[in-house]
Amino acid sequence: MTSSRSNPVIAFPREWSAAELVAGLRDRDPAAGRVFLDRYAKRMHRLVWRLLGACSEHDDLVQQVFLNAFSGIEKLREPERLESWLVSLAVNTVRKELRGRKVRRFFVVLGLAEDRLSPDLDPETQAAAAEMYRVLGQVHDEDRLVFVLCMVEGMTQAEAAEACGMSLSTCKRRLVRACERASRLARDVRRVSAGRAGEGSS
Amino acid sequence: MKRQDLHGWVERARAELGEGPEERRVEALNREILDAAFGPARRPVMAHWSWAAGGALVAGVVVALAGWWMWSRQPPGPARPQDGSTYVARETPLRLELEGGNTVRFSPDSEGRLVASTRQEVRLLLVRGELTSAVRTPVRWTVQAGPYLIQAAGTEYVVGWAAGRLDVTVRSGRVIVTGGDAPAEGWTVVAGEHLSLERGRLLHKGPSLVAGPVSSTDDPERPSAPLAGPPVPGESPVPSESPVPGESPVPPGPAGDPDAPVARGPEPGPPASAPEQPGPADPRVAPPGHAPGQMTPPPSPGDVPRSSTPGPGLVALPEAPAGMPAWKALLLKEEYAKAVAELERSGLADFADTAGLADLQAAANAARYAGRGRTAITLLTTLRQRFPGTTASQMAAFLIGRVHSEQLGDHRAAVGWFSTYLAESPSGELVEQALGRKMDAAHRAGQREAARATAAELLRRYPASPFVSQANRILTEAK
Repeated sequence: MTSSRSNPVIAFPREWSAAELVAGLRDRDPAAGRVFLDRYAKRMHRLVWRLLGACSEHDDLVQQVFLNAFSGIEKLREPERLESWLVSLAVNTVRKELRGRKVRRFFVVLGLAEDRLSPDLDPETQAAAAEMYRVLGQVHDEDRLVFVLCMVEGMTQAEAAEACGMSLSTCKRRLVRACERASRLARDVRRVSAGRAGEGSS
Repeated sequence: MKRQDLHGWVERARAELGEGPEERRVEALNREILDAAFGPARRPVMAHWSWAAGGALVAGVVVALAGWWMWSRQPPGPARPQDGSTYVARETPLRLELEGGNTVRFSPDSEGRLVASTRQEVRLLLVRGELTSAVRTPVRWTVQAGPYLIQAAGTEYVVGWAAGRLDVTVRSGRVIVTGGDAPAEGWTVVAGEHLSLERGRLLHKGPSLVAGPVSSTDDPERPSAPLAGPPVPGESPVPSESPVPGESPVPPGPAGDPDAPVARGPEPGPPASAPEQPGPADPRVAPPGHAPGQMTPPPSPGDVPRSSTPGPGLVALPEAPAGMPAWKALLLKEEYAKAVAELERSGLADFADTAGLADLQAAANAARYAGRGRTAITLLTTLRQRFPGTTASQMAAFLIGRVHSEQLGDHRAAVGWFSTYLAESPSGELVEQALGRKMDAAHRAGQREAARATAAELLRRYPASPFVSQANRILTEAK
């Protein structure tokens, strides 16, 4: 056979380049959708998980990220930037969720002062995570996003700035502010917790 | 809290959070997302604390209850298969009836997807559980389970896939298992054999310990007539549409995403390293003494008596009957290149001038499969000269077009031959294929006007064709 394009059966497993993947998604090719999810689902789950904590809306939010990606793939001009584009979609989805929570808190004044934690995350045994999201619940949304992207997710400030759609200097400023506020809040939370523990023991 | 303490605090939180939800949950959600994005019904994402969502939920529950009530009153029947649909068999088996009497049966607690279903090709994805395929017509039939691809035609087999373990039991015919850690040529599993792989490790390959070959009376689903074999050249409307080595770059079936390999760079590996997959649709050999033009279902490994009982892991190939010409014997052993070489050695011109229609078709197909494009064209051209006006002659025009386009890279000639087919067979079964391939060949040959005209005709006549995206691209480029 002279042609290398010889095998008509499904090529599986197959390494899809970003360009192929984007082309497949634009053609509504389910195989491309599957590869897309296989490649990026874990990353998106981890990102949303870290941005919001193990909240009960997690699955819906990740689903929303991918549905937005599938429907908005035509807008992606540079296929090689697929992953960073997806990250920015996730950040935007989380941003909307954080805004939605504020609105909900405004209308529903019933114990929603802190992020709801999924049963998957036991606050007793995973105290640091629970405490961190309790603290982050009181930090400005944008500061919080930058904080998690840089401090928890380990992204560079430039990457975080791109994901959040802000300039690098704004990102740096927000990170400094978030760190200061988180430190102060965490200290207060611990002080209050210690006080309560003292009252309980006495 | 100092900056150093902050880092430690975040570090502990990160360690406690882990990498996200557990893998099973991620996979389940992936399936939901795929269903929502590509499935027939888009699952709406929940909008929290929204009255509209609440109302929709209530309405949905009412509709679901009504639907369930209506469904529960219907007599049980086979599910109506829809391409792209996911099927889940929970407590009872789920049976899909496809065109031509082909069936798919999901065992209880199984899940799969019908990726594509056409007359030429059926593609299934087994997500988990067990799937039984009964393939009764000449159709390219593939089941994907994890990283493995099971290819078959005219056969009956069971595929099980769970927790990284693949089980394939063949009841009749033969399948080829590729992908994953399979060897380059894949694993051939014949009737009565069972193949077990776990996380790439071969656990068992040999006689089936559970389900042996099923006789025609064992299975009520099995037709009393012999299983229709893979396409016989000249008999099937699409004799060349089977998974065979050296097939076309453009998947022939409408579900084969014909524009994908054409438009998107990397393709499966080169022939030298590509797994040789002796497809079930081998070029058939007319038995000795067979009248020219007369077709006979060829022997398949599942039907042919074996010369000896093979040991575990061995595949018995049928023995050539005494007196059979050497090239036919080689063909029967799926040694296409050797068969063609033998033909060429013994005199291709004499063979082409004297052979019957069936032999000519078989030899031409063997030449195509072996990548001997020039020889294939010689045989097909002679066929057209000796059997003018026949369906086989029209088909030969289409095949010559394919050889020119796929093997010889002569797209200009391919355009001419596809045009010939379209002129000779204006309502033939391969018109859509011919139009799509002609459009592609014209595009590649730089014949922009011809490509545009063909694209427009394709869109007009076959608006649901899988060539549509490529046609649209060609028309868009023209603007």
